[in-house]
Amino acid sequence: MHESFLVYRNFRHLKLALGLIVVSLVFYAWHPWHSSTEPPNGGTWLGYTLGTIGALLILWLTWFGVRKRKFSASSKLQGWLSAHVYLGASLIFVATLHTGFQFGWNVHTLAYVLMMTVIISGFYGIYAYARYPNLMTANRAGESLQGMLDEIAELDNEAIAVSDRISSKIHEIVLRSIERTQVGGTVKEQLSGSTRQVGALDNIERELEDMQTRLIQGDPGDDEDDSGKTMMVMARQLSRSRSGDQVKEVRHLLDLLTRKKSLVERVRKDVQFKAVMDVWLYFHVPLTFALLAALLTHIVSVFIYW
Amino acid sequence: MRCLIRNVTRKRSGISHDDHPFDGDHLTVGRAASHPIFLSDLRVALNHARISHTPDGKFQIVAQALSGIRLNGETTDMGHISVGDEIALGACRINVVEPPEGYLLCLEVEQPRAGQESSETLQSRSTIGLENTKLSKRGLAWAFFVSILAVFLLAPVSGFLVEDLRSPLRATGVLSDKSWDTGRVANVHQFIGDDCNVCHQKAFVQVEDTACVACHSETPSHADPVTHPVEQLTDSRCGTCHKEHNAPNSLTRLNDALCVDCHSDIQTFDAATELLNASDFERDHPEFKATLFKSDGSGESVRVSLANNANLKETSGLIFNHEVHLAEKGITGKGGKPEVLTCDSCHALEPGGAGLSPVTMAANCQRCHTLGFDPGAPEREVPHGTYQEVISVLEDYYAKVALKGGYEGGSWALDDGRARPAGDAKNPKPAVPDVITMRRRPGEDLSGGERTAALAWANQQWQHVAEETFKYRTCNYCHIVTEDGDSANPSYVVAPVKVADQWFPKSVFAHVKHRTMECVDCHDAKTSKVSEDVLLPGINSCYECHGGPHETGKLASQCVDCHKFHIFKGAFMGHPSMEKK
Repeated sequence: MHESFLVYRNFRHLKLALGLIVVSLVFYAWHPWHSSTEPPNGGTWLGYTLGTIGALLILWLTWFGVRKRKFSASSKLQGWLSAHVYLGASLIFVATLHTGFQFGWNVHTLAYVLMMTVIISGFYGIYAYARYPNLMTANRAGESLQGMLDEIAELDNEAIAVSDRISSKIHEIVLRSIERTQVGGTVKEQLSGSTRQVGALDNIERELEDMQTRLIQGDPGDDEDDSGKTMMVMARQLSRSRSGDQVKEVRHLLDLLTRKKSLVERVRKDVQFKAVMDVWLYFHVPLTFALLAALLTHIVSVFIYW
Repeated sequence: MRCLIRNVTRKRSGISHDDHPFDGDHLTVGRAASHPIFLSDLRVALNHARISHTPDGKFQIVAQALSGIRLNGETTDMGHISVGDEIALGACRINVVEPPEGYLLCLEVEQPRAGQESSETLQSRSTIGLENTKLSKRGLAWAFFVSILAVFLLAPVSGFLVEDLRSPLRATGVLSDKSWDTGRVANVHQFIGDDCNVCHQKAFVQVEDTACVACHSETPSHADPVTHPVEQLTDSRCGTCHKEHNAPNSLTRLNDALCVDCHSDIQTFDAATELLNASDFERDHPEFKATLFKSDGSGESVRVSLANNANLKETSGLIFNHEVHLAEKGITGKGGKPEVLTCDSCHALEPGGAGLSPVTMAANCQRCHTLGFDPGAPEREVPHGTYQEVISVLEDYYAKVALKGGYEGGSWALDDGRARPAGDAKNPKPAVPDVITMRRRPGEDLSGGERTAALAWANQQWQHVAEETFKYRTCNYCHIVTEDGDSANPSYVVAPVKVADQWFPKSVFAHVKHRTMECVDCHDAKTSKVSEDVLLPGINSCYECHGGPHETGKLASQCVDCHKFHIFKGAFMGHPSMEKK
């Protein structure tokens, strides 16, 4: 039976993390700050202890990234992930108490801020993994991404064949549309769900829709554009033989293009969900390495200038 | 233009070529069979593109179909082509290759066997997944890791290791040990500026005392390092108690534990010490000890607990009654008028406010306690000085009176029991001869007999007045006066005054901080009749407001609120004499 990593073994790691937090808080409250003018800081015995625990936790949590790739059994991975999440969150307390709430424009606070950013990006990761797979499943409606791409290709092939039977001009427009159809794209395009060439498809469709409207209204219009003209010529031809094969072909083509459009949008949405779900790792992992560098600097510097 | 069109067909057995030379103005590409480059792929338009030779010798391809062409992967409508370029139309590829001898252009045309659109071509145009974008976790991670290490670790470390680099790096701000600064240093050390190495001299070594005593060479030690070579004192760093980079908090750690570690059982460190144990001001602190002069007049001092009533006597050599002076109805003041005195009539805070200014005869007593000696001339006073100074004045005064004449004498109006007792006949008041009382005209000479009689009177008179002054009427009023010398030439000794400057020299107490209280809240002066009374308040008086270090209902008081650490002026912190023996 599927068990979320959050409830893994009856919240075993949550309990462990809460225990660590409570112990840290108790020691912090118990420390005789009140009988000293020395404010809470990382240089007291409690400060060193919390700092050591925090640094070891950070190294261990980073090690998860290495271990993760080696797991084959998902249950083992789940345990590690559960521990990673809860113990990572407990760092908020351990490290904050280690600082003694002393912050400044220095490398020590830099390390702290990086650590908090990593943790917050991790929280986003939990949120993303809880939210986006469901949205992706709903969006895919039982298909896989590859299946949808294959279907687009099939629709394209059919559209090429149908448009070729209508006229060379329509064939060219459809070709152009296919040639310029893209999904995904740059980071920004993937995250926002916009793709440069979608407009071309929309334009084609708009022109064909226009043509269909005019076809029904019998209005030739005064479009000076070449392709428009061709289409109007087509429209007139079609209007003269309303029950002919060509009318069926055009309707078929419009149907194909509409189906393709909705399919492309679903693929685009799928790519967007995946990107939004995955993007946190592009903060989490590099910032972890930034944190490791800042942590190393923090530790070395305080002991160089002990 | 002369071209070679080479149709390439890939088969399992290998690749076969089918060359077609072409000579014409331009080369057209399309799905119509009439084109020299004829592509059967449905995704190719009937008339798709045209290749022509430009006047500058290059070849240009122009798309004639709306879908354009893909030149080296980029969709375009027009472009120049040269050897190595790839033109894609639908699934067809046209590669521009090195032309054989006699040709200007050679195009290798390759058509897929099944001219079908597949999801791969869509995917080849698309970028799906962030991992296929320019964004790279690994790249970002390395960039962050390396730049943070370089800026915040390597640069400052270089500055630490290479002295010549320090100033230039510190001038940049970020690239120096400034980024290591854990917090503001105390105000008193602000003048050091950003030169961390004034204190931080050796890497991975805690700030050494030598760095501190470079400036603080005159800071007294806590105890004599020779007689008390206690490890806790000789081996402790300045930094044990003085924690920097915590401003605005105090530079000094005030934890009682720092003191109590030794003073809760001080005999462990010195079996012969007279110090008593203390671990908490309210719960474990002995009664105060006052430092008093010994009563033997040796001038030596003795420490007496305020609880030791039998020995708690001030032997100052003075006679003083606080009760009389502080009487609510007042006391006879100057000119016999009554005056109501308060504590601050005589005791004033010294500048700085820590202690009280010494009480002096001239400033505090003499206004009422005049040193007059002759009731006929009450404005004349003897000096508040030595015996010789006093009798010189008396001798001179009565010699002058005798020679001048016209002396009227008189008697003291106030008889407050200071009169000479009836039985004392040693220096009786001499009878006043007429030559003394008689007024003389200016320039009138005395006869020899008159002069002898006058000076004889003067001689008896000053001795009489001296005895009155020292023994009965003036000096003895406040001082202990004893007779010295023989009966023919009597003299008097005034006992020296020995009042302690500080009764509690081992602690600090600032009167100014207690101004909100009345003096009598702590000092029971209103009922003190004799100057032997030690009017110092005991520890219980402090407990009314002060509590132990953990007290919340009272003013929490720590060791260092009253006691200083650096008190032994015979040795300085960090000096060679402080080194562990």
